Amino acid sequence: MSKNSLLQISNLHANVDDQPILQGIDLSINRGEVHAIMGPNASGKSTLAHVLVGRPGFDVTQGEILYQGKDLLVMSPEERARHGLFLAFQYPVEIPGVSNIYLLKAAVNAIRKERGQPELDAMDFLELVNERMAELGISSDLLYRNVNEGFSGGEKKRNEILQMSVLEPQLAILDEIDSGLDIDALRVVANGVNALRSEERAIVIVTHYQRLLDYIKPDFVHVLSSGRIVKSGGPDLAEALEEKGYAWVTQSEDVHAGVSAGVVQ
Amino acid sequence: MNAVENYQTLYHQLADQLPGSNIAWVRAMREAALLRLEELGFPTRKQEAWKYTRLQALEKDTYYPAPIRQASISDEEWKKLPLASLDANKLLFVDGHFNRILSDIDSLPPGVLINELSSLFNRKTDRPPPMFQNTRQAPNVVHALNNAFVFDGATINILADVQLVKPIHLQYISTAEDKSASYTHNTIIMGPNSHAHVVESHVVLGEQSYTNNIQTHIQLGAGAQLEHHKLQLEGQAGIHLSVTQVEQDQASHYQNHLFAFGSQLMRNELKLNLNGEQASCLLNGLFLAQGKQHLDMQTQIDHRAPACTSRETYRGIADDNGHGVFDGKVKVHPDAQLSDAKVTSNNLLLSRGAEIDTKPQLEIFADDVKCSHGATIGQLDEDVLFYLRSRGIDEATSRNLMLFAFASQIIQQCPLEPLKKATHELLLKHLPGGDGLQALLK
Repeated sequence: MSKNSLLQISNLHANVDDQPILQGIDLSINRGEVHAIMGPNASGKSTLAHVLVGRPGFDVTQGEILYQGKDLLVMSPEERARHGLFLAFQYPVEIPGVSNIYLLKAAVNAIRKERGQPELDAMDFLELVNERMAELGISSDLLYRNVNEGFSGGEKKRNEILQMSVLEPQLAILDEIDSGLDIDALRVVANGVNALRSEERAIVIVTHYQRLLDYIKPDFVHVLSSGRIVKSGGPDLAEALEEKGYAWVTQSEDVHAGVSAGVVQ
Repeated sequence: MNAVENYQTLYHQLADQLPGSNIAWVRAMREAALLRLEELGFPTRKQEAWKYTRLQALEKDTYYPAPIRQASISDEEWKKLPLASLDANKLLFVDGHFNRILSDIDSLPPGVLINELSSLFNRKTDRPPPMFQNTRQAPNVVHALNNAFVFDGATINILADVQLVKPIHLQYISTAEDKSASYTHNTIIMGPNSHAHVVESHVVLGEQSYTNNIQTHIQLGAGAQLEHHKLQLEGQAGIHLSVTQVEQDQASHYQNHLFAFGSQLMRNELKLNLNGEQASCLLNGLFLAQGKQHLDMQTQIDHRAPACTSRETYRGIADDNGHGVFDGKVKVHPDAQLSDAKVTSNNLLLSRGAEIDTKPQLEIFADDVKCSHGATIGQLDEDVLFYLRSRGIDEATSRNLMLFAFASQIIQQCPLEPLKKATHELLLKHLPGGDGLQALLK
């Protein structure tokens, strides 16, 4: 395993409500890389994202996931977050009664504690958050509103990106972050994600459409179908998909079946 | 002897010591209430209004009227009491007896008249004051007991157009020995277009078992506005029995914000008559039943005139073997067209032994109305829990944060800032895991 390896998924099978959804995923991701996971509806894209962050009810039945060389599957969702895993939700929940700033502060301090860093004091914390909000074009009143309550679709997505940029994860997974966004909002969100690109961290973009990838250029593109990666390639694969549709790869799935579709290195 | 006979005997033993014992109308009033007590008896489960709540504790032990406390309350004890520092016109009752020294009603603006009820009991009149004229018809046993033994309370008169900025704080402290009872009666009469905040707080010094029985009669003139807040922090062995009756004239507005964290047994009855057109009310309640606490919230809103509005939201949390009851009834009378009513009850159960019974009810006898009710009983939302955990917050803290959020939404609606702040702090003190949240929410 290379020094740069961040995540290694081997032969991953997972059930949701006793239905097999993931049926043998192999994928490895190095630091510094951006991977796009594409695929038709119900191909298992979101399931993969949620399995990675440990959502209860998503049961891994076979296979393993190594994250930073450690067994990810034994960790609770909060431990995963504290070790630098982050999921931007496709449908962020509303939490009436909890303001955004409380959530951010609690999350930042939980993660800092894990890293052995002292808690941020209120001033430093606000400075950090305000800086990130300005970059994302988010108005500061959003900070004092209840988490996602009454937010527009675009505000919810920006809020996810704000959390991501404040928490500075090692591995960020964006689940359909482009859904429901107009082109201006898409640009802002993409800028937020691009600002986070670095040699240290990796980003996984789960998306149905190629559009987002015009703004966030992936290093690798994988196509998921029926719970398996049926094709992997470079950014040009996304363009080919846009042109030819998913049927192009999913219909030829049988040809590829049995071939382990790892990362194209 | 049965329980009723025990209280009758107790009365006859004490009759000469109760306030107003040498005044004819007071004695007559008390004796009428005793007859009523005999008629009613203690409630049984067969009575719909008492399906979930019994007063066995009062039957088993005969609680005697608490004497006037001789020892003073030390500054240290005093400052520890919740809301001790609330900037208010304060009336303090120790074991139900008005304490002038610890009260602060010297800077009342003109048009605000406050007296202790016991002074009324010295008045020789032919007829009792209005609130004691119908003791023979007392609606239930709590009421009848109160009328039989009542020894003090506050009578507050706010004249027309007076805007009272500083709240009036009715602070009740229980300090007496085991099996004592305090019986108080408050009257709040507000003239047209007046405005006031009244804060009622019930606290305890010690761990004794006792009963706190409070009757409150409120009358709002046309356009009057009253924000009535109640913080119930009785002791673990305390019994809190309360009946509040509100009469509202045209375009008056009444708010009731109730926060119930204490007592082993609470029965809170809140009855409103919207008598004048366009009268409105807002009732918000929060109760937290832990250990073996039994907290029963009864409300009834009668829309008796056209175009009145009522809004009611109660939230309950039950943990351990705690038991909560919410019975919220809205009755729209035949002439009350254009009534607008909404009753909501949301509840959380945190353990297998916990129970909450909720019953929002609408009885509608007019045809052009907008009324709705809804109730939920559930556990914490798993999706929200996962979201918080996915941000690195551990499961226990996430759960506590969600509980806090659930309860906080009721507190947030309290319009009196210092009380809101104090109640948030008290919530953290009483919520499971609240200490851990305190640092987080700073």
